[in-house]
Amino acid sequence: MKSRNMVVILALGLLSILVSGCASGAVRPSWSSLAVADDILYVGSPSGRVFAVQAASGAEVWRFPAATEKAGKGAFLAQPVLLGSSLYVGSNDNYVYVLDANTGSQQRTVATKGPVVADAVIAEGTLYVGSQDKNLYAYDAATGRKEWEFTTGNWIWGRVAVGGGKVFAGSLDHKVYCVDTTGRKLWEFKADGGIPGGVTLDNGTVYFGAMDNKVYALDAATGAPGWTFSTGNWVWGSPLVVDSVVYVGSLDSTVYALDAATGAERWHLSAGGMVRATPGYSGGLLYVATETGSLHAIDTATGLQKWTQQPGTSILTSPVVSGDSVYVATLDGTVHALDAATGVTRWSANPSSRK
Amino acid sequence: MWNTLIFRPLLNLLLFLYSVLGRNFGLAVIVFTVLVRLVTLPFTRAQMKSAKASQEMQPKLKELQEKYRDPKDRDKMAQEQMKLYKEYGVNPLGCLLPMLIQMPIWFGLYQAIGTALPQSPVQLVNLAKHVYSSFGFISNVVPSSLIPLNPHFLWLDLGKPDPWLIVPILTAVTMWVQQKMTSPATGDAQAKAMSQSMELTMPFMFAWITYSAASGLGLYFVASNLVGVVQQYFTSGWGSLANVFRRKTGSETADAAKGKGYGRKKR
Repeated sequence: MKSRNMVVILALGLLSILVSGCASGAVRPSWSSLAVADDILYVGSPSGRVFAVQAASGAEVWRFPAATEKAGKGAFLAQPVLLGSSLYVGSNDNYVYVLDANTGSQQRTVATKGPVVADAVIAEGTLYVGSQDKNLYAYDAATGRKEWEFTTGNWIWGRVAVGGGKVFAGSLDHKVYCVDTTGRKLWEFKADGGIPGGVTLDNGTVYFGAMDNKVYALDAATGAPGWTFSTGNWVWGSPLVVDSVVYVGSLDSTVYALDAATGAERWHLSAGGMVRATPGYSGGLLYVATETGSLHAIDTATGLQKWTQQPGTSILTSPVVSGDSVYVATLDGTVHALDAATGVTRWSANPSSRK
Repeated sequence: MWNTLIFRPLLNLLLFLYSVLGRNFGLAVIVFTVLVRLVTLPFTRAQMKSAKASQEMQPKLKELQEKYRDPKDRDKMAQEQMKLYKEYGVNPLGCLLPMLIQMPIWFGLYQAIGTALPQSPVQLVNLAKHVYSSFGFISNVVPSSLIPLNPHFLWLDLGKPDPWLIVPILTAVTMWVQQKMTSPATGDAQAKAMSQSMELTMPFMFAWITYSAASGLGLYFVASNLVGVVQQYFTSGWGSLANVFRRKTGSETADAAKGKGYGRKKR
């Protein structure tokens, strides 16, 4: 009977450690976010800090919160957005932080009621951002004063699109909503799956991917369906539209080039791992990152791979391109700068691990 | 290995049950619990029979303890005890097997509930990696239109701990009842103390686990305990639980000594 009790206690102890360890994990696994402007690379990190580093060398310019503050904020999954000298970046702690882009000091915060995974968008002085509290918010970008909110049926994780006096937002409730700039609903369209990524507006058409494995094109004015294209798994990243071609990755490990007007496939390329993020683009090359950690440069004219590299074990963040460099962040928080033409690594650094 | 044999099958079974049970994750967890209980039924029955035989053996065990009270007779006592176990078909470690079998299921279920109800984008990527796109000849086992799942069941968000602590309390109470029904009435003071301590420690630990973890796991514990209570009742009645209530009337000790109060009344 004693041996039975011992085994039971040991097993329970093991279970308790596992459960408590996982349940109390304050830092949830998340990816880094990247943006580049004026030779400065802005990195939102899972450790709850935002870093500004020299794009050429990776040398740190500033960090937020400052190094004197031990604790970070919530994880920063949303892509930082630069407007003038202010940097806007959403955090898992429910806030959008507005930072001085030159010094990293906090200018103000904008509050939502849920984690802010979606990238913020600023148009005509208004900041639009979706939240995991299911709401789409509009704030005065200069003051942070809330103008309106629009409630959807589930979390909003993707970037909204703004144009022609309309705001388009996808929600995990399977719907894309179109509201005017006062927050009044104009139309909604229901897909067969949740919409985890952002929507793209180009030339009067709204493009988005969904968890029903499809890419959709809708008329931005009415919400009337245009075309759909089926892939083999969820489509998460926002479609990228360049010169009337839609580039979109799928969790079926393939990147597709589609005719923007008809949805007809021009080419596809197997990337060897799930493509979650929106591809990057510059000078006729498409940069596609995969969940298995590879980065591919693809000639958009032919669909042929120009080079491929394996910077890390998993890349879920969109690659960003500036000048002749392409930047990616792996899931462990390391940022890699590669030669955009050849894929040769220029520098790698994990800003969070620096003292 | 773990993912292929335990975690992915459990996760996809849960998602499949969710899809066929009206998109109700709480119901899926409860039906899942019943299925697990059915699979482990042969082991559970063996354990219950062993426990019942152990209870029937207690008067003779007490006699042995009286007979070999002298510490010099410890070896002889152990030999006679083993004989007694053999005679009644009691395996001292027999109670462990169902628990050991269920342990990987608890771990797997904890992982499966956390994965099925993602709270962040990275967790959703993880879910996408583990959902079966097809299973044998069945394609689209888990329609992706179901995801993200509706985590709400009664007052609970099954992906998060119960804010009202009702599930941890229910886990503790049902576990205590089940344990009380299975614990043998022993005459040995040391064993009795150990048994009583376990009867309190285990419910407390499980309540704490449920308090810390997603309430979906707590729902599994409560449902599993309730099914266990029903199974135990039909095997050996209320067991020592009957004595808890009888104690209040003052007749417990005598009945326990006579071996009464353990069986279900035959009609």
